[in-house]
Amino acid sequence: MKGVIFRGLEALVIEKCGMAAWDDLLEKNAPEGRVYISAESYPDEEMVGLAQDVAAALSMSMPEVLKAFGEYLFSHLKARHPSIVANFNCFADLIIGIDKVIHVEVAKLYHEPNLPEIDAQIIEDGFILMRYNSKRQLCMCAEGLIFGAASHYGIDVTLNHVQCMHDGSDTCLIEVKYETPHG
Amino acid sequence: MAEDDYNYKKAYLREKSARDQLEILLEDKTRALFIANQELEKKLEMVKNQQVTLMQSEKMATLGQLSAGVAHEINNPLAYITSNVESIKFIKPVLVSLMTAAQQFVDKSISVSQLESILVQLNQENDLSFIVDDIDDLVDDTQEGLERIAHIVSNLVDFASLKDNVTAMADITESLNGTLKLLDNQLGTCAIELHIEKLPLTRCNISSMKQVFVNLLINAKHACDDLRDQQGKIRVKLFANENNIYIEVADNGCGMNADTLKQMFDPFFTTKPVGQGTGMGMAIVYNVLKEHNGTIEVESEVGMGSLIRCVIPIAT
Repeated sequence: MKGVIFRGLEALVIEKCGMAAWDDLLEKNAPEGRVYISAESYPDEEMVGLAQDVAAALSMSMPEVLKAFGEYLFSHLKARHPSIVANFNCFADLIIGIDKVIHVEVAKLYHEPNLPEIDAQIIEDGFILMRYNSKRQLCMCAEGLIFGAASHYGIDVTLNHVQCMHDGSDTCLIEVKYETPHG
Repeated sequence: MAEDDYNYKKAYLREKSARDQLEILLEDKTRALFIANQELEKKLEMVKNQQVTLMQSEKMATLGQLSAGVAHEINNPLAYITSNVESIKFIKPVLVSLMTAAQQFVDKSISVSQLESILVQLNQENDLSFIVDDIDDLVDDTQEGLERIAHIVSNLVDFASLKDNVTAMADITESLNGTLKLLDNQLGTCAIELHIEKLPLTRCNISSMKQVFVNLLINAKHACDDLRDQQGKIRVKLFANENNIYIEVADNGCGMNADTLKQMFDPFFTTKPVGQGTGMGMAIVYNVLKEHNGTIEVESEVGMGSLIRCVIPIAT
């Protein structure tokens, strides 16, 4: 997993729990002297270990932590790459453009980014069906990112995870129902 | 303690900010590099397409240069085919008369004596035994002449074909044989010595390999054109070892000086007078060999001749 995601987690933990907490997490889950760099790749297990410990420290479930992290990660990434987000006029544009625009931009920045496969289609105004597929199975994090995007555009969104890789499905299916300008 | 905490956090934030700035710098550079790379890939694709076009143009230019010789090659058989057909045209009425008489005799519309009288008259007028002797030669020579023309045309079509990117398992000897037929007239002034060993099949572009042979042989021939006191000799060797196929073309022509040797693979470099050479021949040979992961070696001495050795790794 790319360091930029770890850096998002680092920022979140330090902001919410302080530097000592982040240090403790690193001590426990990463090799000695680890400093995350956005463009570098790190083992997925490190992220899982860190997230699990964050969940334990905050008495939250893993999905809850990933969702909260995803939401935070959106604002973290938006702050780093404002021009990418500026490509989109609205929430739906951004969700539909994840694969064709955002992932293309990410591929320009990072070597072998190992991005998840995301296919989003507008079923009707206010309703997007998203397919998520990744061997990392971080679908909850994807949910958090969707919430983060909705928050960026100042709209309400409801997600219904109708099919999940954690339940043995080949791919996750997430129904995204969102507020439209027409109500 | 609180003071320590404050200082560490401040230091951390400063370090984090430096890391952020460096990462932004890195990302900007990476993005620029990515875009530049995409541009380069596009340009590389364009260059590749232009190379194909250039190669085709060079082929057409070679064909233009060969056209006089090829026309002569076709003219020779065409001349005796025309003469033979003319002779057959004279024989035709005799044959028709013979067959008509035979048909009438079978139909019993003429008697034996009438048939005999017709045959005697035909023989007196046309010398039937000469016709019998001659007709085999006329037909055989005509057929051979037509086959020669068909071969020449087929070689020309093959050489001019657009299948420039097609590679297949093939025997490079085929390319040499096709080229020698194509250049038969062109190379007529030189003595050609062939040393061809059995070659293994290799994955190659037969069309491109023909272009290599054409360019090497025509260059060798041109090098021999100015020889005054001896005949031009071109020696072609094809052989292989476990790993490579070797093509050697040697001539006893004018040879090349150091300057020419340095530039001989440069596109548009030519030692021929303006308008007589495209200067692309050896550049194309070099490129074709490069496409086959091959190499080229040149030995040359002014006034003594040149030896061009192409080494092509066997690919399966």
